[in-house]
Amino acid sequence: MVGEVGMRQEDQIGFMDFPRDVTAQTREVAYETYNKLAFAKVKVVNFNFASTDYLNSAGIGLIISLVEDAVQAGRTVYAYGLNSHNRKLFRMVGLTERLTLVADETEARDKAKTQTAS
Amino acid sequence: MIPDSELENKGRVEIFLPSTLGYEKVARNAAAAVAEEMGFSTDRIEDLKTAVAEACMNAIEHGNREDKTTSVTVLLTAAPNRLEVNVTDEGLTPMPDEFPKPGRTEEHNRGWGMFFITQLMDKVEISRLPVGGNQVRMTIYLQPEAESGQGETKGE
Repeated sequence: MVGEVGMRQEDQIGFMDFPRDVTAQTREVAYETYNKLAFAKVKVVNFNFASTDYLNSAGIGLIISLVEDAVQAGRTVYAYGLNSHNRKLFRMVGLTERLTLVADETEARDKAKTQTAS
Repeated sequence: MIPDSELENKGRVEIFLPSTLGYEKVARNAAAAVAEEMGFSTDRIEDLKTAVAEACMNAIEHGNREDKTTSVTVLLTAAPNRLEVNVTDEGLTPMPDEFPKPGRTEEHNRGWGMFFITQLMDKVEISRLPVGGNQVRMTIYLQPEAESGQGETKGE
């Protein structure tokens, strides 16, 4: 069963709430959510991994694709809720050069508000 | 923790997985349970879980082409100073001599699995078996510092 990728929007800030398993099967629902946020012209996308337990290489590949699309469209991406191992995997593949890891949703929201206010 | 003498006699676990994506999590969880009993740190267990899941995914997706009539065999062998994990498929697609370099484009971002395996395990050997099938043999040491320089990938 493919978990849903939740979507929230607060003005120009978008949130993507990733499910327990982030794998190749997540790609379609993740892009559906991202495209809705892109259509709504958000400036910042926050990736919430607080519910994610299993993130495999295909899931990492999906995140790389989403981040590339967001960055190329001029959006800023923050990620939070990752355990220390998944943070390490993000560093290993170079994702931390393209997005910013933050502690939690509060920090992501604060940074995003500063970003969208400028 | 299980005494070394007991591990020598009882430290082998064999698992047969159907060639369906998602079942790699069964092997991942089994490997984590064995490593926990052996006294591996939480960080190393997380490394192991990722490597085992990725090796099983490669076997299911590529080695067995998700053919429902095939299976993947995972053998966990606990030794006093290390855990060895052998993942064997039926070789419907032979293991390539070289793995594609992973990258940021969608075309290239599926190559991260073997990258994680080689980076996270202390020793990795990849081979094609004489009877057919591919095998990924991974070793993780309880004391990785003492085994520095082991992290290499070998071809056939």
